[in-house]
Amino acid sequence: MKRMDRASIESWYRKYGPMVLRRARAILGDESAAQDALQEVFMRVMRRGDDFRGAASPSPWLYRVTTNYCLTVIRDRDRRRELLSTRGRPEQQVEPHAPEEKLTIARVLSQIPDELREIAIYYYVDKMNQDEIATLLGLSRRTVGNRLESFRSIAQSLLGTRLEAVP
Amino acid sequence: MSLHNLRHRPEGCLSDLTLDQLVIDELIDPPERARAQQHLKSCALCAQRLEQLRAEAKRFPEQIGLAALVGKTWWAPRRRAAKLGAAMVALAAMVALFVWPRTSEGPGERLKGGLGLRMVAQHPDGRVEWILPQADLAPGDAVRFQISTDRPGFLTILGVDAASAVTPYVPSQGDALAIAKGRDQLLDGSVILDATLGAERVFALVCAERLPVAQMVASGRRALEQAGGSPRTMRDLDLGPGCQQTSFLIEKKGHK
Repeated sequence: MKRMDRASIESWYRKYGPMVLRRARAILGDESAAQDALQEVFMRVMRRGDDFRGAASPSPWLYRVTTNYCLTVIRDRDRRRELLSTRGRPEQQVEPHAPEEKLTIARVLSQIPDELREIAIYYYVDKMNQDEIATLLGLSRRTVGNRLESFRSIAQSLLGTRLEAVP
Repeated sequence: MSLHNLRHRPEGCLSDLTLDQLVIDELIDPPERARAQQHLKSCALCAQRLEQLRAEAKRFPEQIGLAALVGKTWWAPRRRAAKLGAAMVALAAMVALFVWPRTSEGPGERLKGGLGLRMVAQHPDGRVEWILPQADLAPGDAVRFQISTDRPGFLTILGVDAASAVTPYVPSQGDALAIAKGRDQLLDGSVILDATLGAERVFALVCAERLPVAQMVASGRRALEQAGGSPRTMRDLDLGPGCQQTSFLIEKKGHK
């Protein structure tokens, strides 16, 4: 695989870095983890530079790489929490929250099925409409709508509050 | 941020992806671009979000320097590395030396005065990591140096190994390399560790004057001789008051 030279990496880092960092912050809700994500995403860019350069618009590709990486981080957190729990150590305390209290998307995402997570991020974090999500993921609009409804239903029960209906 | 107020932009507004593409001038499809620009004229919410993203993009290089990536990434070596060639091939195991007035040393940092040297290694299996004291390094590992200095000057990096070889790594010959005041300056080029095993002391030297590398090497040899030929017991090189230095002892080990 052809590696990118430093000048290219620096140029793309400055161009796309803010976007990647912002999304990672929004998904993970943690500055340190977001900066790790920024680094990891650009490592992937370096390793898969040809894919990146081959795209007419690299942003959607980077959106997906960032999202998938952040979801992996959230999954890993879940596993660690489960492991600690099964080994008898006190599980990380999740403070009870009222609907009006802050609840990061990361906490909701950690409690929903995998197939709903990515779509939920594009819809709620990136504010994409269903057509954009369908195009990005190569799914039908109907599938996207169904999954968003499923997400909304689960999230409502987790939050104990009603979420705006998906149009 | 609460989930129920995350989706506060009405349907029909521009997504962050579209706004990001506008910020980086990547929305190249003319109808799509025209539609976005038309929407921005009539939607204060999206226009405000666009400005917010632009402001974030401008702040970004100050927020997170490229050097922050160094611990996990590996830039492709540039031609200059090849020029350093033979001299840089000698290093057998690397470390981080650091010199920066901070309250505590971070992982892989050696602080002394206002000068710091840190090293990062890429192992043959692709792993990249900062080098810590007593790191398990092996022949074939590639190493790069990062310097922090509280004053401008002229840099030389030397290695003194268990075979009593004093090798200039940066630069490999000529005069010391000019370096600006600043933190986390990653140097071009990498060093591939050779098969020499055992202890090696790596010195970072920054002087106010541009001294010949050969003079630094000679100082290294004298210091090694005074230490009875052992890199482990070497003290500072005798370079005069215009120089500051730091050193780091590493252990070169065989293949894991």
